[in-house]
Order: sequence, then C-alpha cells, then structure tokens
Amino acid sequence: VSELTVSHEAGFDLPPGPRDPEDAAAGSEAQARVQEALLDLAPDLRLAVVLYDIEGQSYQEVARVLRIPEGTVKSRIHRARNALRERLRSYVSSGRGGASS
Amino acid sequence: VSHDHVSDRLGEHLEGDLSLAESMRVDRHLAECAACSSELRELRATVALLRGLPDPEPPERLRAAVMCRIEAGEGSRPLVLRLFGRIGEPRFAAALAAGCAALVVLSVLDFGAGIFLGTSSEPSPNPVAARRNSGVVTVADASGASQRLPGRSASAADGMRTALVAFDIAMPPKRAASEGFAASFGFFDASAPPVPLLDLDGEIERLMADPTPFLERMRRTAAPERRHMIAPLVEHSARRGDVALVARTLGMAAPPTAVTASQR
Repeated sequence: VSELTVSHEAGFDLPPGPRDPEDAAAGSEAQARVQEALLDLAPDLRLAVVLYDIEGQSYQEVARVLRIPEGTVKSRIHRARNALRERLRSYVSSGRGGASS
Repeated sequence: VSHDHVSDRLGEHLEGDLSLAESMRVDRHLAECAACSSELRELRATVALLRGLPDPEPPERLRAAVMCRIEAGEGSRPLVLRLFGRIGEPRFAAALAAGCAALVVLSVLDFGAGIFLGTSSEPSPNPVAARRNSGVVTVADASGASQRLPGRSASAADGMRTALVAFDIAMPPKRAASEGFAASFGFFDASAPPVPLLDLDGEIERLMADPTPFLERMRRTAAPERRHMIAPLVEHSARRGDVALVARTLGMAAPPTAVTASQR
C-alpha cells in the first residue's frame, strides 16, 4: 500500500541504502506536512493525538496525563485524526500512487 | 443503517472499540458504501503517517540539555535560541520569557537552596509513573548532569512542562516540530501535580504578572519534610520580583544571568 511506504520509509536514522532518492524526498516531504498539520490543530486535539498516536500511550495514560475522561480522550483523538485526514488529503486519499485514478 | 451513524463509528471501528455486533453492522455498511470505506482507508493512512513520524531521537538530547541547564541553575535562553531561533516574534518572545521565567524560578528554588521538591521520593507503585520517572533519571544521568535526582524533581518536571509547552505553541512549523513535540510531551508525568496545560496563555500571563501562586504551588507540592525549607525561599523570590525581572530582561534580549548568579 503506497501510503504506508510514504510514512515508514523515511526517517532520521535510516542508513543509506538502495532506496530510491525520490521516495526518500517524498517521505520527508510527507513528514513535514504531517508536522505542519499537527501544528494547525487546536492544542487540546493535538495533545491527545500526539500522546496517543505518536507517543504510543494508551487511552488510560492519555486520560491521566491530560486529566480528562477516557471518553473525551477518544473523541479528541478521533476529531484530531479527522482534521488531519482533511489536511493531508493528498497523502492519504486512496488515489495517490494507488492502483488507478 | 444510517450513513452518518456509521461515519461516527469509524474511529471506534478503527481502534477495535466496537462490540462484535456493532462492528459487524459497520462492516456490512462499509461493504456497500464507497464513501465510508474510503473514509476509513484515509483514516488508516492518516494514522500510518502519524505513527511513521521519525523516532524522536533529537528530543532526548534536547531533554538532556534542558535538564542539564535546570540542574546548573541556568536560564534556558541560549538553548532555545539554538533550537528554535525565532526571537523577534512577539508571541515567541512572550512564550520564551515565560518559559525561562519558569525555569529560573525553579533554578532559584532548586539550586539556590540546594533542594529538590518531590511529591514523594519513594518508588511509585504506579507502573506508568515509575517508567516515566526512571526515564527522567536516565536522561539526567546520561547528560552527566546529576546524581541528585532521587527519582525526579517535581519542580523541574513542572517547569519543563510550562516551558516546553510554551515553546511548542511558538515553534517554527517544520524543522523543530518533531523535536518540540516529543520534548514537550515526553515530559508528562502521570504522578506530577496538575499544571493547567490547556490554559497556557493564561498561565504565562499569570506567571509573568505574579510568580507567587506558582511558587505557592511548588511549596504545596513539595514533600512535607521539605516544606519548611521552601517557605523562606518563596518569600525571598517573590520579594525580589525575580520572575518579572527575568521576563523583562529577556524582552530586551539580554541573558538572565544576574538572577541565577545572585542566588549562588
């Protein structure tokens, strides 16, 4: 799946390899866009999604850290992901680099 | 099955939070609704993008550097300049001033009296807290900063959050973003006393206007046997107007050396 390659292939610590330079450029570009999109989120949504999806904490941990109920954590994460999805449409829409159109 | 209703449940579906029955109902809808299944694919791809962000190695160094500076009783301006370099923007200047003020207040408390605040020096029974505590210790040790942190300095953790979240809101969008995020959020500690993170502007304003409540909170959250050591310091700091002084000084682009130096 193309979107997975975009997200996983580029990283600060990857050793130089037989990777296509164009792929690498696309990867860092995508990462930069993701970070920009994150910065555009409202802080409460950003905190929730960063802790959960990027830091890999559990609902319970996020709830404790932010001192909000778990239900609120879930809804914030979902709202954040939806907002990011809108902003990152060109990277996440199934058309990009996919089978066709 | 209403389309909107299923669309609402996609987030839960993605996380496997739905009951089997609900999950099957959503699956049935997805099979016949192109819009919903495309939305789900996009959500998956979004999550993959988020999880594919680089492993935050730079933030560890940032964290170590800031911890080191807290330990050394310094303000954090040079570090901030190097990392974020956005002096001149009013919002950043305000965040920086408040962040540094917080750090300096903590420096005054920690370094000036040679004490560390802590809600408890005992290992936390809570595994999450314990893990995070030990993380802070590891970083502090790795930077060569200190053996003095018995588990964590509650005051330092508080200051870090105030400071780093302040930096976060004014962070340049691209290069520093991942550093700032991980640095800010890596510092959360489940066992630390509450900090009004989501009212950051208010927090900055209050801190700059009057450090007393901040210091009071430090005092309240200190281990009981250490409270008597803090009270005089709180008075001293508040009387000298250190925080306001530092904020003003930073606003005029001069390092806050006078304040920390005077505490030695």
